Amino acid sequence: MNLNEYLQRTYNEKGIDRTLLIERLGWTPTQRLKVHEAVLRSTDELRKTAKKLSHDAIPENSRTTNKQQD
Amino acid sequence: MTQFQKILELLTNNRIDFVVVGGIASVAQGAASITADIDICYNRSEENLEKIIRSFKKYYFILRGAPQDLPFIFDKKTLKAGMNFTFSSKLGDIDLLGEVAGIGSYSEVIKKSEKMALYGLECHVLTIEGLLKTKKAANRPKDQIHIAELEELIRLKKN
Repeated sequence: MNLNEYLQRTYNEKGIDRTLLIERLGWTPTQRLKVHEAVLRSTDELRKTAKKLSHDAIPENSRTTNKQQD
Repeated sequence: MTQFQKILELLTNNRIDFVVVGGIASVAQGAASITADIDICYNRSEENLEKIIRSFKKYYFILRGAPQDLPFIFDKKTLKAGMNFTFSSKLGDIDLLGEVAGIGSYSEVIKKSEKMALYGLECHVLTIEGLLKTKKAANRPKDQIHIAELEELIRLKKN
């Protein structure tokens, strides 16, 4: 199978990934909701980590409060 | 994070008349979309409003996005005065909808729902066809991808 064939098989004419949906159709509604919750938790964790990394990336002596900057 | 299971437990254990609609209904039906809140279409009968208030009052419901100092009381009078509400609470973000775009009130929405076991609880969930109707009625740019996904789900289920 070449790339074009793979893409045509995987995605419909509107770009929807059929394989994701076929996978989910094989699950119970509860399993779908539990996977959804796991994705939300991961997203939350990623957001917190990104925030912490942004904060840590600022050199310590540059982390000033507004009062100090005045 | 919104406590989806806890919310559904409170709704079913307290025999509240409701239908799961919106993003969580789509997920339950097999869509791969993500939503941070739960949308519930509720019966606006006196008895049902009382049950909703009794069951959820202790979870500090406030209007989502409203200023913190805006006076708001989560009671039957408030629910009667409005129709669709977007709440934040100790249980997370919950939208209570008296009317669903493209379908109507609870009595119409329930006709377009099916029973599903969600976390072991028997719940009414809007069908894929019902979800399509609401998305097409709302017709927001962000709904277009959901519409495409729901249409593909219908196609796959038929095959």
